[in-house]
Amino acid sequence: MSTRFRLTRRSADRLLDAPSADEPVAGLLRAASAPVTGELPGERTALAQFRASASLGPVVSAEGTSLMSRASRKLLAVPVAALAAAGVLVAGGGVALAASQGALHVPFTGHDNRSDEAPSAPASQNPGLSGSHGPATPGEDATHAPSGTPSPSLDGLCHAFQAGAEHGGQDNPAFAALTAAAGGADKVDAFCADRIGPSAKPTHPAKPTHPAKPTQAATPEHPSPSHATPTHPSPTKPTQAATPGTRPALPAPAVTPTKPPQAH
Amino acid sequence: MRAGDEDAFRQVYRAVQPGLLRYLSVLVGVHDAEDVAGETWAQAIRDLDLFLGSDDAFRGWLTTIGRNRALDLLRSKGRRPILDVPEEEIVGRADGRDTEADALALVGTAEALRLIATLPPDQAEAVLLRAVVGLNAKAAGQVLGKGAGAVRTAAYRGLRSLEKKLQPEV
Repeated sequence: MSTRFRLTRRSADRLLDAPSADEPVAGLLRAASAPVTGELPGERTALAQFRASASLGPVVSAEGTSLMSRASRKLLAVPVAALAAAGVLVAGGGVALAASQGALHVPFTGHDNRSDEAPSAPASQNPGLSGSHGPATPGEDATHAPSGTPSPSLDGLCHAFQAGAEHGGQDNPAFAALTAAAGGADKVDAFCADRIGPSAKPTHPAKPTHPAKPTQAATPEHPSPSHATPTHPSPTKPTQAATPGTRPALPAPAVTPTKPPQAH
Repeated sequence: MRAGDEDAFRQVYRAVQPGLLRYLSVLVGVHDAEDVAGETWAQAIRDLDLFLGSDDAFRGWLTTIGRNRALDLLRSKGRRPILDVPEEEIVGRADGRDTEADALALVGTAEALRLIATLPPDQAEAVLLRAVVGLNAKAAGQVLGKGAGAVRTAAYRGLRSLEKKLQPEV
């Protein structure tokens, strides 16, 4: 090959991120990072260790969360967050939703009924989906919960629900647990808005059915959306959250909790 | 039911382990790399409660554990980083149901790693962490205890050297 690319610092950096060019070095990087098929060395051992650490799970820790549930939720924040970010939860319909629910929602108590898990896990344990600040303090969650402290995976379902709302996916059976936790299908919207903030992209932005609400949502101490703190105003403003089926007409900046770090 | 958790763990493992293993292979050699990777995962599983962060952060965190363990091993054996990968060792570690195409791809991987391993250690590590482990420059710098700029420079020099190795006639 006589044509020779002149590698610069910048192009080198790009190649390292995504070796897609025709340069020989790119081919080498692709080969070096080629995917592996089949079971990886050590997978069974690692899985056994994971299982072993999980076997401590039934012994619920002081915080009320099994090691397993915390462990897997941390790991799980990865693919689910990526899925949600890519909109796959919506596009994939039932399959993707079921997968995300299965991943996030598997109870560690040995019961099959997913709603059984809810009381066992405080919501502050889900760093991946709910963001570094978490949805709130446990005390706040208790105020929302009709039956015990909701599972943190409800936040994940809420994200999926809000994303799916634009495509009419709310009736997906995967949301059964969410519906149960919210206390009814018509309450899910408000329930989720209360937990994780209103949908980032409101589907009915032009219909302020409750014109008075937006001003109420703006808490004077937190004028900036980026400054939203875990001191979530919603417990002190039950009227908004309690209105069944209310989709906030405006993004309601002050209520929006810190955005979860989208993995991608 | 725990199947879902194990599936999830498996998913993460399969996403992260190949790059980690290749990186460690270049550091300590293939035979020790599997042990070191195993210890790395064991420690990560033990300490999972200490970890807070995204998937990229998990990758970096795990890689840091792996590198520290690799350096411990090298120290205990009085060795320097191997930076030499016997190519057939990395091949065929999968499960024997490789198709011919897969096998070729794996040979290509081994050869690529062997070439990268001929670089000076700081360049080899920078290239591996960026391209094989999949860390960005900042995260790679955190693993190596240096800044993102130093990683970029080392990786750039490494790629330039590789470019020359690939085109010796120029």
